[in-house]
Amino acid sequence: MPRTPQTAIERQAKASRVVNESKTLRRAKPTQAFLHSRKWKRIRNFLLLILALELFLLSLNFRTRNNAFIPTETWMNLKAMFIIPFRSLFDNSFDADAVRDSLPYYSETVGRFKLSLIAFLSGVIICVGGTMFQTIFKNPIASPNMLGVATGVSFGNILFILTFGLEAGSHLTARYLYCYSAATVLVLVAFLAGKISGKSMGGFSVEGTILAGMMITQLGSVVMQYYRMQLMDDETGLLELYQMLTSGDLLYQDTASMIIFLSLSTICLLPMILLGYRFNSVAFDDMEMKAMGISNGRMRGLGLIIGSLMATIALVHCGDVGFLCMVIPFMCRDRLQTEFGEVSYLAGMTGGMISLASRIIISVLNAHNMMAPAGVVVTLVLLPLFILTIARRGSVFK
Amino acid sequence: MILELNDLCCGYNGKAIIKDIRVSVGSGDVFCILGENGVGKSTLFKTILKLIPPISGKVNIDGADISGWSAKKLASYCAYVAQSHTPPFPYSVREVIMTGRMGKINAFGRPGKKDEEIVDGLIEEMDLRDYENRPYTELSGGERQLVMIARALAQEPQCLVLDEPTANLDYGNKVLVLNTLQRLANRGMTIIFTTHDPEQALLLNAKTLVLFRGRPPLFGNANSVITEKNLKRAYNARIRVVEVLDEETFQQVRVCIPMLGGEENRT
Amino acid sequence: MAKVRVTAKPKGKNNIELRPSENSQLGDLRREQERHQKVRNSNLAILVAAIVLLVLYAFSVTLFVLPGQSSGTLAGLLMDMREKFTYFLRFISGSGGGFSSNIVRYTIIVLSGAALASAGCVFQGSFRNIIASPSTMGVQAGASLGNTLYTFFFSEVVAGTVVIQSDYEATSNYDVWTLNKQQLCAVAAALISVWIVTGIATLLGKGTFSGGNILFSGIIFSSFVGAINTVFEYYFMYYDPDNTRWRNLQVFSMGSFDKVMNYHHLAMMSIVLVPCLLLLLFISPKLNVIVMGEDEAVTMGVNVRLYRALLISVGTLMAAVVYAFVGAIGFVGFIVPQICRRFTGPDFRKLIPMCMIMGGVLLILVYNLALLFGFSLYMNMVTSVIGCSMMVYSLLAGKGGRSYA
Repeated sequence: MPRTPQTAIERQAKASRVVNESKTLRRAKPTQAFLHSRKWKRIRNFLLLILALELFLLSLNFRTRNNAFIPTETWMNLKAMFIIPFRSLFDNSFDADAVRDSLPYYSETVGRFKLSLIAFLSGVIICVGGTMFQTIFKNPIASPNMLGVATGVSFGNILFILTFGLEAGSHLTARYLYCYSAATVLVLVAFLAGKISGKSMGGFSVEGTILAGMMITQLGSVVMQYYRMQLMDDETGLLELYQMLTSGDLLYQDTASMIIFLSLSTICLLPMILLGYRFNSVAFDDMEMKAMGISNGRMRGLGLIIGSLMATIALVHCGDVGFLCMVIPFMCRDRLQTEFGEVSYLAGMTGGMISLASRIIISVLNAHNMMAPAGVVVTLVLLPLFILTIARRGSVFK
Repeated sequence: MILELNDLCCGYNGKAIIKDIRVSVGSGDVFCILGENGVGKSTLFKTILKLIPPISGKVNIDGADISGWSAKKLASYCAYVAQSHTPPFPYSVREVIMTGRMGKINAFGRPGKKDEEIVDGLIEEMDLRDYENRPYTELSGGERQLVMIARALAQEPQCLVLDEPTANLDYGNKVLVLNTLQRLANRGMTIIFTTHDPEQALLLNAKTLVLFRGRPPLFGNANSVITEKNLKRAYNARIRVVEVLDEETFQQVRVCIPMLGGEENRT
Repeated sequence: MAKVRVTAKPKGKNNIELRPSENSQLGDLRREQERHQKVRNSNLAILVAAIVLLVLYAFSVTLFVLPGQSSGTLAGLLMDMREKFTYFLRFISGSGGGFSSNIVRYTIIVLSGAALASAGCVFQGSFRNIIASPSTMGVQAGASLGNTLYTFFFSEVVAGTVVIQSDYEATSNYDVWTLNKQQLCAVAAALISVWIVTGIATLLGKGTFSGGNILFSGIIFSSFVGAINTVFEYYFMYYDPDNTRWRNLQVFSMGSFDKVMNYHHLAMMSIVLVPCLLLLLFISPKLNVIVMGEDEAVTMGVNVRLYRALLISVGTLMAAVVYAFVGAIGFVGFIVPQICRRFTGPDFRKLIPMCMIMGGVLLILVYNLALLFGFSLYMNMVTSVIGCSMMVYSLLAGKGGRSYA
């Protein structure tokens, strides 16, 4: 293509820019160029995956009852767990129960596997959901928690206890109905408030939504405390039951729970993987994106639904681990990347690993007869990391 | 391509802000829109980009009415550079430019080899190689504007629509941006931009549309439209238009100088 | 010069848009006149609010039923009130009776309302953010942490049961530490936690100070404190025979005026609160400048850092003292400034006194309502429900999110 000859003005401008550069800019070093290359990103993602897998296998070796660490035993049981269904499919004379009984701690290993799976997946989806919300609200402090998801879930728990009383333990499936619908209602209220308050400005008001969400959260926590005081006055042990249900020490391993958990997380993660790059558009201005031929509204709607659902799943199945979805995406954005696909992958992996680490800590504590709810452990693990991040990097966000 | 505005009348909620605009610009033209604050420059822009519907009249591109076009089709003709833009997250320059390719990429896809090549080419062309991996939020105003133009170019448009591309820039950066625009126009791209400096229209020898408050707009070549009389009407201030000689290129350049004091300025 | 139409009803914030028919001088004139109108209106509003406060206070002290005496029904309530009134008449005529407990209770309520509301107002002004309030800033979280730590470290165990608070009447020597251990712990923890929150925020902003960062660190700090509290809750639940210590945490988080409150409490509270409130009245005009933005304020010759530090510490101290004695009471510092801004406009010289008065009015009303419905032990819940519904209403009316930048 033909280029116009450089005019004097252009040359001058170039010169002035060179001066500016030497003042403000460090020239990119080759190592930095490598750190920004695609190849390094691929290697890093792969390493993260390996690390997560390692941690997963490690966590399988921590027993919930007594704190033994016998990898060979775990390996035997795991092998059996995957082989038995196949053998019994093709070999009619194969006696599955006998094999199971012959292995020491077989059922416990399966339980541990389920626990680790729940912990890891919950960590992944809640962090991806957190990243989603930060991107949509263009605000590093937005998290599904702020919109009342956590409040909704614990509200569902309280309603569940109040309905079923002491028999609550035997109606665990109904609990999911309560929790999911309560969370949905509260999130819908927050969005409705945002929508209505944004009407005068022509559209959806982010501040309105966050404000309404904060109101709901604060109100919800106070009401919850009231109900807990009422439960405390009740002498029949409802309170212990409630604590057990909400503390998030990963109790839900029955088949129905696992099916609900796995299917919902798959439903949430699929669009995230497929639309990973496209979700970047919601971080930018609507009008610019529309001029590029992309409608942000649909993406945002999808993201909001999936994000809140993700947080709800994690909170229902893994206990109150909401601190994860606020801190991890922030840290990942701050230290590593900004592109949505990358951030959500990194955040998901990091969140999963931290969740697994907390599961290991909880197992160790449990082995010493100490009850420790997952949410508390997660918070205590994360806080030093978070303060370190803040102190090292400072603000990137305006 | 040829962009025509036929008796266009635009505004919000059925209330017309600007009326009777007849404009025709072709490939390689620079089209500049002048007018005081709040007279409806942005509204006109949004109408051209189909972000708000016109009240009456038509916007034609290559003879076809764009009202029936999809946003995607329009995006392959016109790219938009907003006035001020600060993304909340520190995307790197490369990623920001890559978002320009988003409209071309399948919703389920990721940027492929071809997209990377296009972005590489743009980074080379805009001379942004040193900034490539720096966070966009840390750039200075002029550099940001270049990145935004590069992003718009990543759409491979035939027409670039810029909203006050030189607002809040110092002289060096203004010259940088204007030179870039000039170069793009020489390559055959249509440039549409608004500005508060009439002399930019003169420098780029643009086709100029001057919007007045309560008066029909004027359209024509910069040299014929930008006169002291018209500027007085448009900005409600005394502005001298004088010619100076550029001693390096030996060209006559017209410049506008606002005058302070005087009885007429006090309104 | 054309005649300028002055709108009779001033709007929430200054509407600086020029009308199409007028030029800038006319616009200036109109704005000036509207401002005068607003000032006159706001003075009137403050006067009215003060009268309302006095009437309410007198009514509640003389006529309102004490906790535990209410019969629950409306007829019973009226009977109680008549009895109360005869009691009052006997007291006036000098034939016995006394209102000490009612006077103490309602004075504490008025003081707490004034302190919380003006603290919220000061926070909103200093951080230039509408959602800043003692509860979002970490004051409430800090006070609750202090209470938890007190319960853990200083509560005595007498004959197998845990004694939370030493009794005022029983002790003969008035040592401030022995008498007010719990409150002192809470206040100290609240002050330290605000210091931490602002520290994190300053780190976040690399030395500069922004409202968003404060809120961010406040939220982070609150959830951290929540986690610590949960740990202690578990500890208390598993190691205490009869949940006494846990109940203490819950009682704190619910906040009530029905705890044993006597002249000592009132004296301790007013020693801190009254000078703070007076100080706020004197330095509140500086807030008008601070709200404009740091750079503008510095060019106007105001030492922003000094004044902001002073304002924030005074606000924190007031809120912390109230939380320490009464327990957590949410939304007062959040909702009252919002209401008051409707009446007086954004001028802090009017807004601060208005907030103090309206805080008292609101808390008396809420407390009386709570008494009627038997919720007076759960003041936090009542204020939260009221505050939340008002907030949502103002959001739906489209005014909440934007009345402040």
